[in-house]
Amino acid sequence: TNRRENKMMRALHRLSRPLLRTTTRASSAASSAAVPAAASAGRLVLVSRKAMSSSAEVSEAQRNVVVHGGLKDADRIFTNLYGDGSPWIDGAIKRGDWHRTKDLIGMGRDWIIEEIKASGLRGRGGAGFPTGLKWSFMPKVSDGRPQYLVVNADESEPGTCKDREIMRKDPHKLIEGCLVAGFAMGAHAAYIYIRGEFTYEAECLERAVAEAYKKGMLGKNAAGSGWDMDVYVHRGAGAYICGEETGLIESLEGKPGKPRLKPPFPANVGLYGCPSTVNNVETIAVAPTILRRGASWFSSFGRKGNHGTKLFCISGHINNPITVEEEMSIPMKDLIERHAGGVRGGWDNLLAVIPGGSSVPNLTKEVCDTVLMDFDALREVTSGLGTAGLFVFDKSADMIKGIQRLSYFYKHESCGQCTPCREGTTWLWKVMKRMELGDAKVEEIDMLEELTRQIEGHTICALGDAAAWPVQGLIRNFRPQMEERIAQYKLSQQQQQQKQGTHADQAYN
Amino acid sequence: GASGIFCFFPFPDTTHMFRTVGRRLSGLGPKHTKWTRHKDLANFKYSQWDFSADSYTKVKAILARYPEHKKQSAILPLLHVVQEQTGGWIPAPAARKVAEACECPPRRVYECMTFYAMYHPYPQGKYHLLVCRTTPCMIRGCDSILKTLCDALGVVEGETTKDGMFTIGTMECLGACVNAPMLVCVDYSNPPSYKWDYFEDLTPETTLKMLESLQNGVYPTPGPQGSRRLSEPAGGRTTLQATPPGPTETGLDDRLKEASTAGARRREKAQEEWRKLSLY
Repeated sequence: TNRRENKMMRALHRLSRPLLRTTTRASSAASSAAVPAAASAGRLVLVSRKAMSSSAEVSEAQRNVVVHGGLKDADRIFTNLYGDGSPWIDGAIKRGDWHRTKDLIGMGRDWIIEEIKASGLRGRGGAGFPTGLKWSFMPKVSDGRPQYLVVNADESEPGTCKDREIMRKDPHKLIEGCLVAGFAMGAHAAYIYIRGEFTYEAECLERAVAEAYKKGMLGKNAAGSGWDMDVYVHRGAGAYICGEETGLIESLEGKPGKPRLKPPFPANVGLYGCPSTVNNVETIAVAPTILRRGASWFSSFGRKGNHGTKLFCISGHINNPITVEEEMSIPMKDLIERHAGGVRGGWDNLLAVIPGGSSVPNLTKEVCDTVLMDFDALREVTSGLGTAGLFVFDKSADMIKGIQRLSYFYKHESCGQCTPCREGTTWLWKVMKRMELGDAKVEEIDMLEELTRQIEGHTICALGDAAAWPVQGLIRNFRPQMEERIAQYKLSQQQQQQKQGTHADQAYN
Repeated sequence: GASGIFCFFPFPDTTHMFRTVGRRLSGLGPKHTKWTRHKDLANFKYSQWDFSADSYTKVKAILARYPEHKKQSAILPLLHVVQEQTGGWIPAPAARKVAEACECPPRRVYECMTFYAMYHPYPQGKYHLLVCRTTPCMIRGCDSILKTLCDALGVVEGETTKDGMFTIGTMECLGACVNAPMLVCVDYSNPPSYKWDYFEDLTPETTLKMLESLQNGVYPTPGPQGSRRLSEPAGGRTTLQATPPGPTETGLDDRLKEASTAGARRREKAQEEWRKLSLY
């Protein structure tokens, strides 16, 4: 009867209330793609039995299933990623860079910032701060101090190698982005801080900048827009901490790259004490394309709040390590299997994935089966997208050794300014080194976790958090393996002692 | 100093010795060798190190990039120029020359020299092979690459060979994780020309081949040492399989017109408001 059906509908509705409905485009792969589990993605549509009888409602439900991925080449921004064409200005112009830059700038700062805000672009350097909002913090009227755009090309995050592809194969995207973004911020000078180890990439960038000057795209009346823009390339000298916003500014000023306290934020007091904004290479490089092709085009990719395309660097125990540009919110399994040739030995051989460069906690296979690659979905599973540099561990990998090596990385790269980081990263590494052997007590695992909580959030910059999170992820997901290692070590020590005998026996022998 | 007055203070300066007791006893930290203890260098106070004529053109170009009163920014690039000129290290007088060029006290240059990993205060071998050792490279086998190099040359990590040709070292993440494992070969054999090249996708066999090539005086081709190009997948491309399209814009003219009319409307509205105010 109707009443029974209504009761059933209400019960089903009550079950489905915590799970939100989403709407996206239909895809032919919808039926074959794994429907994300409620726990990880939080988006599922329950189809009632009554609705099942009606085909129109079934297709409506199918249309509501979330699927992202399968970005077409026509929608890709970095079309010279593998270096097919010339990276220099002739190739760049053929690929569509420097096209109507004058008109884009002619529309004014407000229009550019509104378009970038509407596109939903979030910072691609790891923090994911909305870019339009960041650009709008720059003062509209100068108080006498010049304003600077600083481009963060210090790509030192382990697992990340996307910016070097942009700089050596498509540098003009970055340079045009500097002009457009610099105009939007009221900056007449942009400094591109490139890490010292990227010598070849720095040469490419300097050559591209020289070409741009020669062709009138930079300098006075850049690209005929009426705005003067100068771009300078500054080489760093080997420090991960100089990838931090204020550490980069300190390094640019010629000091050791020790980060500053925030506030004051760089938009108030930045490079040389002047208002400046620090943005990642990829964020700046995609800006002109967004303006040309429209904010709505860019925001048609990815879920709400995580729009656009991203360069993913997939490395580790996969068949084909690759840097690829894909849509945001693509399922991780889809990304690895479609582009990276799958995990070595099959998907079931997967042990863990670190999804966003070394600074985020790892994810176990159960989560990786269904999680989407975007900022919000990964945050829901207590990880993060970061720089989208995935490293994949298969069952042959020693997770504890991997995290120990990362702890050494953070110890080495700590600038030494604040005590929790300087002492904490060293301490973490020493304990992790013993954990790798198993030379520890089981209580020390909890001590280690407490130590990470003491470092996290108590430091001047985020390197403390970045050092703490991988260890927290290890303890959260791999505690049984750590305890087993400790037990094995204890056993082997006991066996060795038995073989050697006690001191008393040795004395008689 | 003062002439005609004999000054003799009999007690040595033991401050440094006391302050470093902990570090020396713990076995950690860089030991103070003759190369790192600046006041022991024979040429500390009295030698004059200068940039060469070629270096001076580079120095001028570098200094022109920064504001007039902010020459300290040039310390990092100038230290790179020094390293290129000397062939791999930074002598103390060179650091003082950089300080002179940047119009800052020498202390600032010493701070930068010791903070950043790429600057060496003592001479290196002609070829400096630095293997990346961070986790993405580690899980792809960088330890075996390091072992191969050390065994082939008979040195341990951090050492220079007896003939001064090769120094084996390690670096933290070098930013080529997709092409792991990899190393950097820095070629200081012919200063001031200097090469810093990545050799990627290494196996123990390709590493030995590269080493032999360097020993024979033939510089190997940098980049992935396997069969693939750059960061494209070894198993064949999944994206970017066709020539990319030319300039693409979507509705740019309409959006520009709409924005400009919106701007014109806003301006009109503002002018109307202003007129109303001025009537009063």
